[in-house]
Amino acid sequence: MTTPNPLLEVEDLVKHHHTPAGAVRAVDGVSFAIGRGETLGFVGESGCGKSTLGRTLMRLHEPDAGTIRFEQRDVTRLGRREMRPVRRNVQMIFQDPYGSLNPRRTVRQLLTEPFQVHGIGDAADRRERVGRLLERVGLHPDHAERHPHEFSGGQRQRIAIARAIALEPRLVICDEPVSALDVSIQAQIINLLRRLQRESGMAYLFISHDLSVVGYVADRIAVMYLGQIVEIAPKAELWREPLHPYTRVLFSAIPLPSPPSQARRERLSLKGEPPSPIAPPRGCRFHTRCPHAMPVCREQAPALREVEGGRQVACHLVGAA
Amino acid sequence: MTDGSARVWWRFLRNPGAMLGALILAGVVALAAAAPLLYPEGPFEMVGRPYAPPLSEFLLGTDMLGRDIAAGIAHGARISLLVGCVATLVIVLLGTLIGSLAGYFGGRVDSVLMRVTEFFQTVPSFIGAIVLVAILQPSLASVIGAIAIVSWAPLARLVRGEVISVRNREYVQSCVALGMGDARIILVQILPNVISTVVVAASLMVATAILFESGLSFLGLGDPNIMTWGFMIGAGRAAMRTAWWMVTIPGIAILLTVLAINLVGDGLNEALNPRLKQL
Repeated sequence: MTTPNPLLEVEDLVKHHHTPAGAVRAVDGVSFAIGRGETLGFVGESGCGKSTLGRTLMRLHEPDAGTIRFEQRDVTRLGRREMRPVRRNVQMIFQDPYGSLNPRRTVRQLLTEPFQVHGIGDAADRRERVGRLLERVGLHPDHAERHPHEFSGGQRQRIAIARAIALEPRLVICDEPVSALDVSIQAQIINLLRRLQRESGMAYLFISHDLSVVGYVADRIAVMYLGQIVEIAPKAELWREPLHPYTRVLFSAIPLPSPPSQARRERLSLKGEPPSPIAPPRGCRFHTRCPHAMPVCREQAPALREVEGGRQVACHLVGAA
Repeated sequence: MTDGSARVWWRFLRNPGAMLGALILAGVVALAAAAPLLYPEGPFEMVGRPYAPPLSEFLLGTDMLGRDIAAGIAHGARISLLVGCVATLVIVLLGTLIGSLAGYFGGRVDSVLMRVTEFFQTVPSFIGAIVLVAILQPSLASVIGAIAIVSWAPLARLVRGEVISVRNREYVQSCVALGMGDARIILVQILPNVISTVVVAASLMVATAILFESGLSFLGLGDPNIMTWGFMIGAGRAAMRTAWWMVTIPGIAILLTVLAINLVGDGLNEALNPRLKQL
């Protein structure tokens, strides 16, 4: 599928982590695009490479191969100085709001840093901007003089969000932004992210292991398994009929609200643990755990192919459109 | 961080060992500060008969040339503290600079800097200091320089390890994502979170530097124009059987000072890193 004039375009991105045991193929040939104002969700088990993907897009990890284009510009190999204007437009929210805010800085310092780095405004102007930012994320401007440890997890994540949106970026990479929070707080933070998106029209790349969270925020969803995308589809399509066997297993793991419908449902489960990303299986990476594996799956890796309805699937079972 | 530092002080003040150390140390500092007032004639002046025992006409007795040992102790305290503090300052600057560059940049920078650090670590430090002072000619500056050169390597490794662990925290990553420059990240984001470890290590290094200086002076490698505790012991050792105080009193001065600094250092460690104690 081609998004016309995409905001972010990723082609065959590869990032391996080199360890004494061998290269961990965390991201192994990933291609996708995000349109302006769109939310693309990434789901997958822990260890499937989705966080590495987010950090590689942010150039916190250096990509080994492939290209990242932001607004048609190749940013894969830009130096630190050239990256700076790009970073103004691409920001990141991390999973752990206890780890993503420097404990020694006040909220004002934390929220002023984006303006300092990019040379925006003078002292008075920055003060005002910090106050407005705090209000936008549902905190009180008087909170600015406190330190992160004086806030709850949800409030801290609001501060982290304020820091990420300070520069009015066009894309925010949200790496499991609610996974570390209480369930009751998760909804508040997700609704905040949605409201901010409506107000400013930024795009989200939303990473989560929780399909129901991604299903709530995303326009399109990409499913990752062992460093590769196995299926990418508009949310409604995916919800109506997941095509890849792995996606089906993920869907069957979402608890349903009523016990009878839960009991009626066909329950799929996976055999064994995910294989090591150091030595992924030959052929289709999912064949060792796939309930429908055929001989061809052991030999040949299926390509991510376009099927009907603007969706792409990498599976031998699913015929091309 | 006001209430945080209040808690640190409270933990330090409640620690009896640390308070005892701080008290002794305060005494040594006061003695050093008051030395020119108490003994304006200086430590080399021959003020009385030689071999006067303590508690005679002189509080701590005199040495074989009739120099007042109390004057030597007071003036020697100035030198010991000066050497300890200045050498530690140089060690901290050098060790922090090299350790943080190696830890932050990693890769080739790290490899090169750590090979250099290991080279300095493999040289036996006291022997190294003796050789350096011998080459540079004994003077206060060369003694301080030699102590710093042979002692910075372990601190650099310590800082490197801490910087690596802080560098991978998400708040540093988020600053990289913001486009913040390396220097600013190191100085503003990383070092303030490493400083408590450096403070503890540095406080113990003051004691080591004082011992080194005493050792060098004992061997006659100190500045010949400066009275130090180590020099007093070295000068008095020939008379140890007949005049025990010439060696014992400066020895006790070194012992108390080093012990006090170690107690303060341990107290700082427990106050700044309270979780270590619980483990």
